[in-house]
Amino acid sequence: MSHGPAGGGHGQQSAEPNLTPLLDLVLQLIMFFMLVANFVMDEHSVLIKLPFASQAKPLTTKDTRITYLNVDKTGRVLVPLRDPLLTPEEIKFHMLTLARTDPLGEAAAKQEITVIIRADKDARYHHILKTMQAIKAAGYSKLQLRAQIAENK
Amino acid sequence: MDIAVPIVPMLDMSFQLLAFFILTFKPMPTEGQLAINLPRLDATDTPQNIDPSHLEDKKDEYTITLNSSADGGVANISMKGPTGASPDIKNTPELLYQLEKITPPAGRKREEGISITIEADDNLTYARLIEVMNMCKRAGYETVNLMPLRKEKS
Repeated sequence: MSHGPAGGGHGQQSAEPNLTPLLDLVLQLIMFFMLVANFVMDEHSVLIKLPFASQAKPLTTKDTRITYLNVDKTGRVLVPLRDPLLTPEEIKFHMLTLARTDPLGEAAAKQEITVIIRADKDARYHHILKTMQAIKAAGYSKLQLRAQIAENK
Repeated sequence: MDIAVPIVPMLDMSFQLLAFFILTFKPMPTEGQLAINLPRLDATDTPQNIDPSHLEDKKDEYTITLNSSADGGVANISMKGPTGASPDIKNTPELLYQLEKITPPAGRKREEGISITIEADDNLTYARLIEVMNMCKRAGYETVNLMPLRKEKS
């Protein structure tokens, strides 16, 4: 075994460093990075490159109920852990399912939830309109478009 | 007799994991929102988000029309208000200037008295749309309406 005392087996003093606090610290760091990594994967698709806008406002504590729709540059709506949604009917069905499974109840969910569209900067206007109309058809009332906050542009 | 728990292999593994998560960590860019009103489903649908208490006093409606070029950029900007069309607008800074020049109806704030509608070509990219919405917001209009481009224009 290689972890014996440094001065051979017969000495009284042990010069081995105490590794336990270091291990604690490392595990804490691992936990932090694991949690952050999972959060990013969940709703913010990395395939989407957002455009810049200096006037975009960050989320406030008022917006408690949020759902994201990621629109890629070919107009597909990306949903975590599922196939992309292609037609307005699929988007509408997805949004209705979301409202129906909400603990608030369907009607309240449609009033309360803010839908945020994260579209790729190369997505076309008709892709955005199609998605917006599907959200409207599903009965939601609050909608925002997301951009990356730029310093000056 | 002292029984030591072999902590060194555990630490080795932990460092491996730590290195992995640090390397795969990508900090999220700061993102923000621009508010829009939901579009009408068709011509018969009534406009949304009208405050019932202000229903009697109508807003001045301004329409920004964006024609796109083949690559999705802005080819032509025009703005029409109740007092007629604005002079030729060549780029977004000029649009900002025109938007800031609009005077709201007497006794009302800009945000309450004016409604901005953006009509754009199907081909326009999201980046250019956000750029125009950004200009609207800089000029003081928090919320805009989005509409498809009307084909037949007078």
